Amino acid sequence: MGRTAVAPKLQPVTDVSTPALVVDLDVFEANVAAMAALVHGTGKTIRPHVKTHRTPELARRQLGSLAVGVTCATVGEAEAMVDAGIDDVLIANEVVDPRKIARLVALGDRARIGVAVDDPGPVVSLALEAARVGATIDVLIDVDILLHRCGVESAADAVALAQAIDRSPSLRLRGIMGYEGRRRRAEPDRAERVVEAYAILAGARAALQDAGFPVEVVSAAGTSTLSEALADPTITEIQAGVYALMEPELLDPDVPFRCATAIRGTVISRHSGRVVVDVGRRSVGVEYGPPVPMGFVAKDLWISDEHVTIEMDDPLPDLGSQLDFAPGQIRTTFNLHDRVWVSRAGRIVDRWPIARGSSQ
Amino acid sequence: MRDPGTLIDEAHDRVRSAYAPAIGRARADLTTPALILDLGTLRANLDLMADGMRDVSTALRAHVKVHKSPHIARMEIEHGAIGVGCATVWEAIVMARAGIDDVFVINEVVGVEKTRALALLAREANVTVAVDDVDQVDALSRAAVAAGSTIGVLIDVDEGMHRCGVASAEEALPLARRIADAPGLGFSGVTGYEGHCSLEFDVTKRHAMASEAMALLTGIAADLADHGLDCRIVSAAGTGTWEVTSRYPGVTEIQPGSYATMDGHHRGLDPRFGWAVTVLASVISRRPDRVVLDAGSKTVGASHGVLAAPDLEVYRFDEEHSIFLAYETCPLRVGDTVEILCNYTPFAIGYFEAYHVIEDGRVVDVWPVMPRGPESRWLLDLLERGG
Repeated sequence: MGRTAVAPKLQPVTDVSTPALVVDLDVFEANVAAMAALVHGTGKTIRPHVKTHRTPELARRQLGSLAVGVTCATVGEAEAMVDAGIDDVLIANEVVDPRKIARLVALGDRARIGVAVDDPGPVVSLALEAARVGATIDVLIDVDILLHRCGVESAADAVALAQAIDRSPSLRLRGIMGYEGRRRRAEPDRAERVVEAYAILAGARAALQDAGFPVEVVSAAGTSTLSEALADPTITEIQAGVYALMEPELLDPDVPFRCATAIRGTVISRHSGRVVVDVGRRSVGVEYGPPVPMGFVAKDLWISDEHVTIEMDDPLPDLGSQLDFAPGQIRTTFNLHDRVWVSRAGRIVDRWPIARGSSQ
Repeated sequence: MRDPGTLIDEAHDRVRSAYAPAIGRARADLTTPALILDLGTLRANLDLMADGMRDVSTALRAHVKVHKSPHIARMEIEHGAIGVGCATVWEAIVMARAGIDDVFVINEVVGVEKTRALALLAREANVTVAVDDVDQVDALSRAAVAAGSTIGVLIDVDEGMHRCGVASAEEALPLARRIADAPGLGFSGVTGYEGHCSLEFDVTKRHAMASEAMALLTGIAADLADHGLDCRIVSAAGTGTWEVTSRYPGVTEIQPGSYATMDGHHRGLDPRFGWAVTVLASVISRRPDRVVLDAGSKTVGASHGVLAAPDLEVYRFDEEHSIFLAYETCPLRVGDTVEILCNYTPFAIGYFEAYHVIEDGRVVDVWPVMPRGPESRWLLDLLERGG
């Protein structure tokens, strides 16, 4: 496993016990501002996906005039966000367990709550629970736009589901959503797949409108497909999340976002041409690649549970010195930590709780 | 030790309270994703290891970094382990506070706070640690003197994994002398982990590789003894090499961890141990050609897993979802639960705060995962307060 790319170094911060997760608030805020600038004037809105960090203090700082609410993946995340005072939450995922549906509906007391559906069974459960407590829940029909995960697979199924929703006065059909998945620049058929995905959304919207259903919201896209989504006439709302913190894999000269997060480790062992740092797969997510050195050059590195072993040229860093890495996968990294250190202009200014493990 | 067990009891009470509705429920009827610990299978695994170690003089030291459970660690001690192995000083503090008197941090401990935590812990338990650098030795010595404690120190030997550790007797000897002469430290021996062997699934080849690693480790121990530095402890092995290593002359203890909880990778190395830890998931979407579950890489871990039943092909793991190919004949419907067998359990455990402990098909208790990852500096505060 070789990865020698050099991500820009974050501002140095004062000593922290390692492995430590650090977010540079200046870079984060610049990313949020860059997103607002991109969305401005398109007629669209952004609903930041906060599964990226599960951190209410970061989520609150992503809201603004073009971002009135957040996107979540689980009821647990939605609870954490509403507890932090965020009053508009979309759970862009299927919720079917009656116990979770009850928790979701209960959030309706404090926030506008929306949820994705792709099956008539949960629609009935959701409608009954909302009616029981006198709540109204927003519903988006989840459309499979080639990710082949959740979502209805035809416009006819979308219309049938809309009819079921329409029969339930406690549910309000707001529109449709879909996720085209992470589409990497190097994918050979990337452009075709994105075009096809958005064509499916347009087809579903047209079918629903023809059947007399309103489609106010068409929610889709992630950071990897931002430019296509902003140009698409169907999509009204962008669900991107990674943009605020970024991952090395998605860095691109064409996008204005930079890596705002570092996992910081301490050199615990030194050998000829090699040092070992106390960062491992139990403190950093690796699904999209190993941690990327920030501000230093590694000839090669490999990661195990509790260690990153780095091959590098002399002079080797001293035992006890600290090294930063950009996590390959932000979401699973945040989910391994209870709190994130916050730095501004090179100084630690705060430490914020993460709704870690809110997968239920 | 001050107030033995209080720290663990408080954590236990906290998760029992947080998961109170789950207690008494059937295994398949939990809010998902849920971490499942099958007590019967765990006991069978511990019995199997105890049986395997009965006729050898080598001791068993249970590595707890996999399960991070003081409750499982106590059971391992009851099943004959002489103590525990840890990857971090924070794990060592938790295990000592669980009443385990022999804790070995089988890793390099560097940094003022962690070194101080180790030295403070050595006032209340028998603490040993691995080193591979004179700077660590000096820092540990200063911390032990300041704390008024004695830390046992083993030299970490690189058995071929090329991570931490010294690679030769020539490197080990000056380090051993430095340890032996350092105030506050006691030279205890050598340790190594032949982790590279656990990537070899052919038993014959693996055992040959492990024997070669043990020849290196015990050879260094013999060289040190020739210079008057006796190795009371020669420690090695993981679940993939426990049997051959425990029978290698000169090895005094083995340090496996995964044998207790198991996972797909380690079942490939030693299928006699059973699946004690799984992840319960729900079907949240049922399409004509697939089922979608609410457990993905954010709960099962980056190494993913397979279904316990039915036998479905993995289509993809996403963060919050796993997707399995299932045609119309598959009986799974939206709302059904299934168990995922993880390919590598430590990652799954790292994402959860508690185990649902199952006996006779029902949840009988909820145990904390402790300490949870890197966020454990508060344990140093605890030691400093003398609490």
